Amino acid sequence: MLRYILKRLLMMIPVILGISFIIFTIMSLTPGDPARLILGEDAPAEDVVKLRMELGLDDPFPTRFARYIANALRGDFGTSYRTRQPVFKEIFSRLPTTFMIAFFGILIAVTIGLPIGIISAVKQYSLIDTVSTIAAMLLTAMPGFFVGMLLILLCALKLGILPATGIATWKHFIMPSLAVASVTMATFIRMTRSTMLEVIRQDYVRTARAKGASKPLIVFRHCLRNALLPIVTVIGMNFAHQLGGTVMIEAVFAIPGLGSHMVTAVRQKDTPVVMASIIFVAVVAGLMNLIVDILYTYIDPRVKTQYTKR
Amino acid sequence: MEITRKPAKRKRSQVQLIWFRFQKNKLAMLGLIVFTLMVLMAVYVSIFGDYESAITMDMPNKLQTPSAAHPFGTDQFGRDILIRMMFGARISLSVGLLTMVLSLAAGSLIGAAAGYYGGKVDNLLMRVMDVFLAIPGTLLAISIVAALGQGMFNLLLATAVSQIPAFARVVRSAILTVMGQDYIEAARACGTRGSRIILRHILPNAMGPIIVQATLNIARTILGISSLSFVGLGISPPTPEWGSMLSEGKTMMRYYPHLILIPGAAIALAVMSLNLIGDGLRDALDPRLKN
Repeated sequence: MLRYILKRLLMMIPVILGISFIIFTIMSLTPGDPARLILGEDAPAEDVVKLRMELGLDDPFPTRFARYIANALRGDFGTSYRTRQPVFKEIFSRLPTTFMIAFFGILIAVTIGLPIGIISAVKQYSLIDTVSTIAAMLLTAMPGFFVGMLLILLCALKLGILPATGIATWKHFIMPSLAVASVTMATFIRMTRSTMLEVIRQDYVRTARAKGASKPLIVFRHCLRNALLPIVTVIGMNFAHQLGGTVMIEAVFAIPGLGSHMVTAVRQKDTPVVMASIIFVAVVAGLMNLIVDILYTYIDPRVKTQYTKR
Repeated sequence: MEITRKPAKRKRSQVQLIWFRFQKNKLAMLGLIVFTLMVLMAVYVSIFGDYESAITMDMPNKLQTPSAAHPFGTDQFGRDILIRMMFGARISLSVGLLTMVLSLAAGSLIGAAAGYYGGKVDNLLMRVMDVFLAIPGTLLAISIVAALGQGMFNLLLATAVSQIPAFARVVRSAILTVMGQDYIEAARACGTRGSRIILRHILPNAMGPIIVQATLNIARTILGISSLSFVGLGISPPTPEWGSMLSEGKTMMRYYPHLILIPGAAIALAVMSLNLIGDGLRDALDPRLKN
């Protein structure tokens, strides 16, 4: 097991390097001279040249990328053009908020989506099934930020039971998490329903039924255990999507998270901040995928034996 | 003397068969009808009002409730919401279609190369695609917009690039499935040229999943564009784009909820109809998959 985790961690390294490389390449297409941006428009030309030398902006691309990675490993993601503060500190202080919204979002999506999906499959073509299928269809089609606005309209402005903006108390996290969860929840309902329906038709389920096993036992032990595999994969993939989706949600609820930080940085052409934020989120998403994959081995022992054999 | 001929069962072409199965799916047909209406609306919107009226401010008429002249009312700048929503359809659908064509072309090239050549080429290309897939699509698009600057073309490029990996994967697996079939082997044994095998045998049979992916891709692009415009990194006001309409309406939604409900409903309708068409096509193209 430890070997499997180590192996997966090692496999993360090229992926993280690849992600950094892609983002670094894209961001280096930015027109304009960073040294000029840092010093301002009226700085004397010799100062700009000096800073260019200091920052090593004239070095060839591979050298610059290698230096960026080497610095990043030491926690140095450069200095913000705008605030002249280290990029890392700001990002690190904002990451927990964004992460929490995405995490609660997944939690909500699983705790609501999974049971509804199971009930839909067990009681196929019932009223619950029809309603949940339609609801899932609607939620997949609505962008999360629009769901967030509808929630504000209903819960904050009409009913007045939840605060609309900010992150002061736990109540502030309810609506953003729900909004982030909406699309994922719909995906979970659909996935759970279809995989459960597939499993229910299997021979071993019929055997269990013939033996006289109770219905809950069949549903949870025989069906769900097998249906969980594809669902868990989807959970991992969706976490990454949600981290991307929080950018919009933070704009709706005026949340000072990583997403809003990134959007401001893009508008102000603060390249180091944008680059570091995206790399950070992508790496966190990758780590989450890894954790989900490790969980996978607990649900499906077949995966584990595949790796321990070697 | 009359020759009695056994009435030949009319042979249906592949396309007719697919259409036959598709039109039996009520939800998919609903999606097709809604989407066709949207396309018609996008094409013929100029009959109802010109583009100028959709972007020029008319302060005396601001924030009107629905009336005969303005069926959905007006926004905080006095512009008719219905007209803006309809022009929004033109933008979303055309950008969605263009993005699809771009990412389909690039993704097909990569996927086809990986699938056809296999081995090292396949490994290299697919690892690169995996890394692209590891970056959440929204963030990849944001980084491209950040580097190249805002604007319609850059937005198109950004959304297209972030969708390439999905296409590459689908095309690759579609081609791999077909390549393993016996009839390809048979065609090869008959001495068919390589180019003919690809064009006549592999591509038509690999088309199914690719068409489905393309349909769903337009839906995803519409969502992506509206998301980026919503945070102010996509199409900027006064252009009537659904996402930027939502962002403009956000400040006023407490008293004028129709400012956000109309564009939001437009997005939901467009995306849902495309999703329904995509699901319907998937079932129609491969009846075995349907349970």
